[in-house]
Amino acid sequence: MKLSNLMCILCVIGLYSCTQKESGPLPYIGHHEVVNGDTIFHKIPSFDLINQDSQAVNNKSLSNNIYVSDFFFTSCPSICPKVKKQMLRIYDRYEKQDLLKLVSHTLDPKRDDVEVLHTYAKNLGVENEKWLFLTGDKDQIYDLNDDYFVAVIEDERAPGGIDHSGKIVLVDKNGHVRAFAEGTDPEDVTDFFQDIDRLIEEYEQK
Amino acid sequence: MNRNNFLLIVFTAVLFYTCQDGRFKQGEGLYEFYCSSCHMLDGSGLAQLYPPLNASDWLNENKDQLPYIMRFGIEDTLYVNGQEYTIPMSGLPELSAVEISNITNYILSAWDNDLGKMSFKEVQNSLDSKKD
Repeated sequence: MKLSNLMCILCVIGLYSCTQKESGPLPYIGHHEVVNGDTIFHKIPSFDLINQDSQAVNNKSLSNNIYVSDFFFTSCPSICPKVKKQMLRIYDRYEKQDLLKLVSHTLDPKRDDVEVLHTYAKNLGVENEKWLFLTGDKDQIYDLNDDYFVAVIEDERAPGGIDHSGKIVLVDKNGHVRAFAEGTDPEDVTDFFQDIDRLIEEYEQK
Repeated sequence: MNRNNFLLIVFTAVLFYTCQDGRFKQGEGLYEFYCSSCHMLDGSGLAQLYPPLNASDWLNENKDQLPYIMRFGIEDTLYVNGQEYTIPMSGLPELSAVEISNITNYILSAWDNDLGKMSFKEVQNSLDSKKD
């Protein structure tokens, strides 16, 4: 009898602790290297692209912001609209949080020039600098995929000719990847809000 | 009424009820595969890029055009619930008339929609209609 009581209490404690929100700093995702005793975390390499308003965007222009990033193309008939729906949820939720930006990279820069991206952004209801739609050198964009842990393969058989995953990645001010979500899964993105909140908290405590 | 007859009636009623529930199961599956990427699983569409199919005033007034658009696509500007939509939709020539009929009837009754049914004949008339 006593043992079963104890079990019950343990179960309740266990369940309670499971419902608690995780707190503290987010982990650093990706390959770590130790150089002279210092840990070097995976970092988004430098890039130089153009946004929907013809403005240059690079690592420096994003160094005062944290951002969520995805890869897409405007004529994508498969997962992109679903991911965009979730990016739009993030955009709406953090509309007044200036620390956070959204960065969407096109995988079809030839077709998705500044003008096309401008219209696309407008149709999504975005007419400001909070959400950047980036185009530019194709090789550079395709080199970035790996650093954002997004798989992309050009494949004639895939819908729209490009097969890619729908990850949304959270990057901190120093270019380190701190969390990610499956952009086609609304529930996963709801959990992702907590990760974004935690990263914002990290900077607000400083 | 003997016991066996009673059981038979109950059984038939249950069967009828459960079948009712999944009336447009095939249409739902096809919708998920062919339409939900842009129009979303809940029919809400995406901002001013892809129009909603749920609670759409345009669909309410033009449901006879739905099968035609599925097969041949549409390039006209549409005004749905006060919003303008300009992005063309490409048609899905791989869908058979029966499949289009199933998707149409799923959409007409899915989510908040209560737009009635479309008979197979009406679907075929829509597919055969010439656009002016």
